[in-house]
Amino acid sequence: MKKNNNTVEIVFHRETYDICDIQLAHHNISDKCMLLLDIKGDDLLVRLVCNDELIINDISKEFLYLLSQYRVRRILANENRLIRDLIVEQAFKPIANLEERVNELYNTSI
Amino acid sequence: MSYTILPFNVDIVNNKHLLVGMAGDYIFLDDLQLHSFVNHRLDKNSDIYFDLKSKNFLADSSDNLRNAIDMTATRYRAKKGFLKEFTNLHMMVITVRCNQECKYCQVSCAGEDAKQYDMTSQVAYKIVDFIFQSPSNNIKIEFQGGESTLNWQTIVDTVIYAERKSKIFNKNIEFVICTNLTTNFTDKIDFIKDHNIVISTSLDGSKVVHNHYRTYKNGAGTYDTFLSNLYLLREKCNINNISALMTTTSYTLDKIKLVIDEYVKLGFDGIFLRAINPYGFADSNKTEIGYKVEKFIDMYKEALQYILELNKQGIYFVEYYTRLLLTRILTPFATGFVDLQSPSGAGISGVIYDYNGDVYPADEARMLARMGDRHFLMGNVSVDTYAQVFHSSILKDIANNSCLEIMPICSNCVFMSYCGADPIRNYLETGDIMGDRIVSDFCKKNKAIFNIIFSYLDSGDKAIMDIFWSWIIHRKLNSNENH
Repeated sequence: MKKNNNTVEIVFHRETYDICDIQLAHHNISDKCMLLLDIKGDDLLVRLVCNDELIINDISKEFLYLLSQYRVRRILANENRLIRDLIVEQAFKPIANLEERVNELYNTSI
Repeated sequence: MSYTILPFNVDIVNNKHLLVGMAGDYIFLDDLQLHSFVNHRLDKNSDIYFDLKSKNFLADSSDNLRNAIDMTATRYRAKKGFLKEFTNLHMMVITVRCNQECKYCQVSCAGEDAKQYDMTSQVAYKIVDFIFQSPSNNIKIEFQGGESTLNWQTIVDTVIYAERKSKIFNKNIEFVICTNLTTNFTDKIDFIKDHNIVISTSLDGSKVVHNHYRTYKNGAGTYDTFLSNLYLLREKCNINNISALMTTTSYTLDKIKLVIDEYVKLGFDGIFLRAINPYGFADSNKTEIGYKVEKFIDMYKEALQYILELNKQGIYFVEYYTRLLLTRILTPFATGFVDLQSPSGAGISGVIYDYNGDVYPADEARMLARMGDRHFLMGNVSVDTYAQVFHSSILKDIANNSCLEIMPICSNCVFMSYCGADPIRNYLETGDIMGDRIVSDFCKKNKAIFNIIFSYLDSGDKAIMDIFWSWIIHRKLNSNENH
């Protein structure tokens, strides 16, 4: 992360971001500054620009929190997506071979 | 041996990490616990490991994972139970006429003599025929206005006709009259009693507060008439069949304790702290009566604290919105609140029929039409079939764009399991029914309220938890202690 007077800049590598994370990054920082997203090659460049230099430090902390959330979410996203799909499917249309599908999922997840 | 992590959302609440699973189970973790958990480094013998396992945040065997998925799926289905019932709340705008002119009215009512805005009994019968095509076995018909009782004969005709239909179709039926209680009720009371009709009215607070905005068209206050009709109804009818709503204006923000005191004094067992809606007169008068959402949140916080104090003193008194959210947080049950569902309850849980038979998914959509935008018009009972109305592209569009699970920001929100979407308000504010959470006061308000409630839950205060549970199970604290 690079920080100037009124800008925080972070580069995410392509394999470590998805659309949910970008939405998360938008969260809570709306009226204080502008979030600029830019794809450069295989990287996603995220720049946070505040028009008030005095609040950049607060914003940086908030952004760091979002990043820590982001890291947690990255880990979860890989494990959870299939389980989430199974739960919703099972809720509305019981799955005949649930045991088989869970075994397969469990063996690949741990 | 490691473990599998089940889906959850997370955020900081009360300086801790709040984790909420898909079925609404929640747990608070500190930094170390959270990072140990998500990095698969939790001690299998620790208390937190067992807590997470018992609440289906993790599974440590294939069998355990299958059970966790099955149990979470069952609870998820229960939470979405409102979908199975489909539409049970049917609101009928009996007339747009009103004898009052309240500055915050979200309806923009017509003059008292404008009888062209009355629903005829013929239109009402067609609506009832429509209603009984709904798959729901429990039908609630709510008569709205304007002031609904100004068109009393149509209410009478509708009730009698709908009761006959309910016997034919073997469905349960319930009626609610929404009224300002300032028309003549002496000739109506027997019918209300005989047909076990519920009364929903409006009370803003003490006489001075109530009369500030709730006035007749000549500017005179309505409190005295309201009160005499309230006493009349209470004398003749079941007291539990009469409830009141308040609307928070800039005038009432700093008088909320007085408002609550008035509700207690008049024997109501609770209050719904309702923010103003940006429609009708409320929109055109917003500079005078409106306020920033932060002000409403401050008021809510103060009011909830005061209400909890009253309960601690032995006065059973509920804040209804808090009770609704607590029921979602602490129990596995679905709650039937149309305005906070995912997908939205608009058109699915509730629907509104305008005086001329036009069908809208929600009252706000009808108000929008009165403001000149008929985007949400689903059809008309005189020209369209039930299938045409309820299979309309409008309703599909609403359902497709109001599932929090796929909405930006909502899908990651820690409160998603308990919250809902308001597509009509989104459309009004942003031109897009999915809306933009970053600028949404609806989102800001609900998140703040969830934060306040979870701070109470995290406090572990036994007295407050007892009060919360007494609200959820609708049982007064004293009788609760006797069990």
